[in-house]
Amino acid sequence: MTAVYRKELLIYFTSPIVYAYLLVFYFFSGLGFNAICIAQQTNNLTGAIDYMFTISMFILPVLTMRLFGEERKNKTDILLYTSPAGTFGIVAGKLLAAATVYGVASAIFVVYAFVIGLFTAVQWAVFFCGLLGFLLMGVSLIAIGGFISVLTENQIVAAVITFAISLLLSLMDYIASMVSGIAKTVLEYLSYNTHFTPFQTGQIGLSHIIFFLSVTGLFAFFTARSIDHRRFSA
Amino acid sequence: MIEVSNLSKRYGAITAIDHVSFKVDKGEIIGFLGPNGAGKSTTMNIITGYISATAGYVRIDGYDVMENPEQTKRRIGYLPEQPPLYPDMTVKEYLDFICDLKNVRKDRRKALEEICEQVRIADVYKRLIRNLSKGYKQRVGIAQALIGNPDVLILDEPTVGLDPKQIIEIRDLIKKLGERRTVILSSHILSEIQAVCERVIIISSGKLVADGRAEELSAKLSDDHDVQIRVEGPEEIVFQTLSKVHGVKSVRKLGKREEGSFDYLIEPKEKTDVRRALFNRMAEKKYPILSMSSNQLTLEDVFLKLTTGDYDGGLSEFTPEIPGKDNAAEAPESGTEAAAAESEQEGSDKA
Repeated sequence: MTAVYRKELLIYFTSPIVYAYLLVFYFFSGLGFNAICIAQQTNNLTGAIDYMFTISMFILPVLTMRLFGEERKNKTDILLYTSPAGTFGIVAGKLLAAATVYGVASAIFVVYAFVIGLFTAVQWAVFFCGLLGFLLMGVSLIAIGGFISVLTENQIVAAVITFAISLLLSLMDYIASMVSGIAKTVLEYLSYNTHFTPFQTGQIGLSHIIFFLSVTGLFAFFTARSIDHRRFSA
Repeated sequence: MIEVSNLSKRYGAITAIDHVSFKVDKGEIIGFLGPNGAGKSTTMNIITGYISATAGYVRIDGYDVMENPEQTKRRIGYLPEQPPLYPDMTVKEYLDFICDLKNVRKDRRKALEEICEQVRIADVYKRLIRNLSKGYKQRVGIAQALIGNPDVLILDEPTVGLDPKQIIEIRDLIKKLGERRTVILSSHILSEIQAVCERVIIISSGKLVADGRAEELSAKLSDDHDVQIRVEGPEEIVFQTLSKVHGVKSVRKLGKREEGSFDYLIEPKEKTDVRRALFNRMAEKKYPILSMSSNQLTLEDVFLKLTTGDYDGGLSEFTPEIPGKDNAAEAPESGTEAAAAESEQEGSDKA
């Protein structure tokens, strides 16, 4: 796992895509920080984090679109799957690498928090709670995106589908409002807003943490199963 | 060392390999030969544990590839048909990654130095893989397979796309590597197999059609001692004279190939060698023999005979399996390629 993790990080940071991702992330988060925190003179950063939740939906697929598909296209996957590393270790290594890049991007909020700290007291607890929600949400999207990239060798297709799914997950509230009964309950439960918003108000709900971790685990599992199925189905 | 038993792989209706069985002993270098699309890569992918078989099993050192993947993968170094390289890495980064992947920790630097020297990539060690020539890329691929010092090396068409000089280098390297290891080398180039391997396994349309030493195979298949001869002198008289030589069953005129001389194909009576009698007779009559060659099958002939299906020598019951997949059309192509590679090699040998 660590071998794959280190290799993925190396590839990420030698490719222009990650720098473009970081640039866009930093630019928009800076914009949000300026418009929400500075302009409204608040010491609460969660507004800016909430705003980046939407932006991340758009740009996160860039991190995952080549994760598995490209290896298959270039036939480097043979190398990984004929090595002593197991399928799950390989999947974990790759997802962790993507999560690390996401973490590096998210770390900019800590800088903003210190900037606020220069002028007034920061609500650190609320801030870290919001950041935790942001990280959990992102990691679960990465797992979904990784799974999509197993399904297709085409990076554009992978990115578009991942983007569509992210969008759907964030619009789930709206869709839920159109139906009623049990469908409404299910759709509301699946909505990312339902589980993300409480973090931004400083509540750490165990059920929400479990939701994001379950999505992550489930899609990592799907990814590994899908790879093994392709290799071992007779 | 390697035991392949009744291996089959089907993709839907297509049978890629069909009940292939063979054993490879420790220290053997075997050539895995077949036309394009015969199932060589599929077999190798199964042996290395990349994909599973539909039926049958592969054992390495007694360990089943599917049941004990960790044990078997540790023992195998694999160079797939397309070297699995990351173009954006330097050679050093790449080989370090492979060491990590194969859990090589002890004396890593020394091991890497040795390998780089062996495959001669030390001079490109710090360069990006994307900027390397095809020959270097191939050698980095071989270096990758050597990391972890595996007992078994599986090389899928290691010389494809290389120039003649590189081909010879890689062949010599494989021979050297085979001194201490078990090697399976696939190719559709016959001269390559002949130059490197002790034993040859031929598959065609997914079926094993021959398994044995190269000389054995050609001896088994060449059932006659036909002689082709070129004699200076009037065609009709020479023809008559040849026909009367003791032991000659029939003579066929092959026409004029060189000014003042004609070629003939002589079929001797069963199991007689007529070359001496021919020489004496022609010398007596003062018709000089300009050339004479006995028609012993080369490995190339064996290959063509087996893979195009016009062989009924009983090595197997060969029937082309997949309709529309005409190996008769494929085989001659690889044959010519082989011939080209061979003549290229001769050329550079002289140089």
